Amino acid sequence: MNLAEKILTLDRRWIYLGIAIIAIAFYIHPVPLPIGVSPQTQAFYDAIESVKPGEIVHLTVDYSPGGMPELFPMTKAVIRRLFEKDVKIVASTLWPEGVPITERAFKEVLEQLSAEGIHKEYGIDYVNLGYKVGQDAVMTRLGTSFKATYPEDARGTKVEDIPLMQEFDNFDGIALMVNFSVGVPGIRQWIQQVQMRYHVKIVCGATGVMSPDLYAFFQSKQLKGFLGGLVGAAEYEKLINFPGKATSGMTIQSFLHLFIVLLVLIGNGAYFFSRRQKKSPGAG
Amino acid sequence: MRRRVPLYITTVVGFFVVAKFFLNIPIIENIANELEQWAMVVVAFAIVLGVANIIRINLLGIIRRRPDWQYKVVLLATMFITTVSGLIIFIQGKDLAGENLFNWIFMNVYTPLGTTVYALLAFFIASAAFRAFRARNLPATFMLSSAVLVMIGRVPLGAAISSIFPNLANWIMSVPNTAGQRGIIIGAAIGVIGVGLKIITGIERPYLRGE
Repeated sequence: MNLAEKILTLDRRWIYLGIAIIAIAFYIHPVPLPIGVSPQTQAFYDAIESVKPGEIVHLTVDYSPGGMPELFPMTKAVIRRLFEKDVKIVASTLWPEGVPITERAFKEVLEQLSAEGIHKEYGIDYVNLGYKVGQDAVMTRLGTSFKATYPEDARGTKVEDIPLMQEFDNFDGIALMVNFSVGVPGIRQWIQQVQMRYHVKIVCGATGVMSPDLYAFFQSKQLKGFLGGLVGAAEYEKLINFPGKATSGMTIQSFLHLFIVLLVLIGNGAYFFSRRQKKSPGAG
Repeated sequence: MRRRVPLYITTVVGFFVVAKFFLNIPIIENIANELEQWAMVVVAFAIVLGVANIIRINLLGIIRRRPDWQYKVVLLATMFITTVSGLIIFIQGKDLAGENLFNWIFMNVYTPLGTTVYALLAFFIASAAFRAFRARNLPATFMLSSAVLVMIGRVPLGAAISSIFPNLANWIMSVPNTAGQRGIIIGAAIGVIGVGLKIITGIERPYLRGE
């Protein structure tokens, strides 16, 4: 067996080991890399910055723990920025796992802000409406009435007793929707059911694998901007000047991408070499 | 009767929900809103049915000692513990992100398991890319080149090497990728309109098992 054949039949466990070593090594010793800003991230940032103090943002957290490594850093970064700008947040989710994730994000951000002297009060500055079953039906129902769709928030408080919920009742009172998506129901359904019908300004954060789908909506301006995967989150952290987990994850992601590219190039080199050997006369 | 009633319900519901989108008539809007509310209630019942089904299937598997019945015990036990702990904090009105059993399970069992399964993708993708990504012909070469350029161009390392990489990656995503995506989205949307009309008019009846 020659070298090319050895490479082509390489035990996959060596590849797994390579990935593990890169991930662990750069987790322990991150290398600072210059982070650029893509047009869609800049547009996302501009949309958030356009919201004025006192206005209401609808935050929809449509993901489960599987999406947390990519989406949780951006969820926290956005909540932080909105609170810094004194914007009010109404959160909801169409994923049952989204409720504790939303609560966790609010709690962690509020702890950070509290240490910096910024205090926010539940029911006045933010509210978590929680999970509602029904997917697309919930989306269109919110266009008519938030209060009718969510008679109680995630904590079991009646919405009539929540001051923030008296300030609006449908998308007319929402300055911007910020969605975080990992699949269905997610951003595509929000665009189809809500953006077109109620002319809501929407931005979103999505996983890396979902991002290619979103360029078409971004170009048609149905989506005002989006953060694509951990890279998008790192770009946003750069724009708000608050480096977090996404920024620190960039070294690992960069070198893992490089490793995969090298694997593909080596695999193709070996493939062509072995094919040429087979074609050449007298090859054994 | 068994065929006609579901057919009439589908047609009426479909008409009002679609009409709400196009017509600004208060009575149609009110009926459609009510129907959407009903849809949410019906789907909520489906969750109850789903849970009942999980309990029935897994209990039978445990009683009859089917293969891997031990996993069914774990499934039912964790489902029961999580549900009860969640109900307790809801009834008591405790802090949803506070220190309690439900959050402990969510943050220390469910979240690490979920993220681990997702993270395993990196290993599988790398191995699959090494084995399957071959420049066998011209289309495959285009796909491989695009993938390599996007992978390098979308991470900070690409920009550190040369500004060409992020620019190329952005062009690939914004032009050829978007063109392809648009075709898929428009094609799928036209298909959905066709299927929707066939269901509303009763030509296609998947809910009647094709009767």
